[in-house]
Amino acid sequence: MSGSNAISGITLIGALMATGGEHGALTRALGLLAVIFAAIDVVAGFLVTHRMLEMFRNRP
Amino acid sequence: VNQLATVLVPLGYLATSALFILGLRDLAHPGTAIRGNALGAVAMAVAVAAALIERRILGSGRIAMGLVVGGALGALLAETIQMTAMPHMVALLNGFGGAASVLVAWTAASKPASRGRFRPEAFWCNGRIGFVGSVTFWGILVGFGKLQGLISEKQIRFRGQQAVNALLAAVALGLGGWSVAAPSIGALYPAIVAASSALGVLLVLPIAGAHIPVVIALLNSYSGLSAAATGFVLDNDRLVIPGSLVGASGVVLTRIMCRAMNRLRASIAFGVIGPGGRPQLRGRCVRRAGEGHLRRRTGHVARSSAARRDRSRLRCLERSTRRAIWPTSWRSAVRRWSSESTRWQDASRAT
Repeated sequence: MSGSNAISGITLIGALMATGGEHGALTRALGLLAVIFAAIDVVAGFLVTHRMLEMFRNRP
Repeated sequence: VNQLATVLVPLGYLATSALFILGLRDLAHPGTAIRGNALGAVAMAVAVAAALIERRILGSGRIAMGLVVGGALGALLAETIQMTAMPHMVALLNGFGGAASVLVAWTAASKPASRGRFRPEAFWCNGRIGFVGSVTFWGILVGFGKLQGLISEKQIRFRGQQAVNALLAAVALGLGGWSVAAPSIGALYPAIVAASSALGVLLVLPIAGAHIPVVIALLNSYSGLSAAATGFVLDNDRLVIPGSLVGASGVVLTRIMCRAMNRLRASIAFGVIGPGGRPQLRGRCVRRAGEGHLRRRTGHVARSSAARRDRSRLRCLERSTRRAIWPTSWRSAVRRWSSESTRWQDASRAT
């Protein structure tokens, strides 16, 4: 679930496209916020999944 | 350079989709799960790079700042969070993803004219993202509060809650229809978001703490669907494939979890309460462990005194299992389960 959650952060691409090259102040603010949220989701999503999977690895 | 980009960008997106599918497949098996996760991360990096090159926004300081700030916050959260707080952490991240979709749709809704040709389906999708994304975000915030102990884990209900929920859903859907009919009214989108936010809170409040993980799995699948819908709004098929992957896998996971907890999916999805104040059970009841299982487990002959002792232990364990299947809250279930199992261990040590 954690891994698929990180994949749903693909909306980051949408955020990048929506905010890139537009000039309205509202659009810019919303886009920046969306990029930040999505980046948190993606980065922390994959890292957290990795941490959890590390726990299941068999240690020699 | 330009020609190189026109070739590389579509190839990058193709690689992204393929890597996501392979990564999800690898995640399904414990041995390859770490590799699957790494594949997903690589795919995401490729997708971001391709999007930056395609839109020629590599040099934009604002976007770089957003990526760096978000990435740093995310890394900080992921490294410092305690292992025991993981379930609500994942839920919260998922809520951020839903919120990002809502914001992207908002930017699209606030500039309909600059998009060129009018596409009704884009507005319909916009409304849907506002609806699903807000329900996801607020539902997850409530779930997070419950697991973190900020809100009571018990079911919070009031009279006519179902009617209020139905009304809110109808209002949100009506506003969505209106925004398709009258796309120039920019204020409709925030109104949809407000109604759906209230609905998200009310949907999750009546669900007891023990069932929150199932709700989170369901909402995770919704956030994947809203990412896919974002792809429709922006006319960008690269979002659609990963989004629908997440949506489908989330539904399967919810199904598995509901089956494991012996609950009806609909009763958790809509917060429906069955008789006795609990979400409705599926039609199947727990199977009793019989002597056959016992014999296979222990290798004892049924008539020996050891087998009789084992049988009484088994009955004890069975009783505790049955109690643990009807927990009222996450913590009370864990407490009850651990006390029963220590009692069982004491009993077996005494004999």
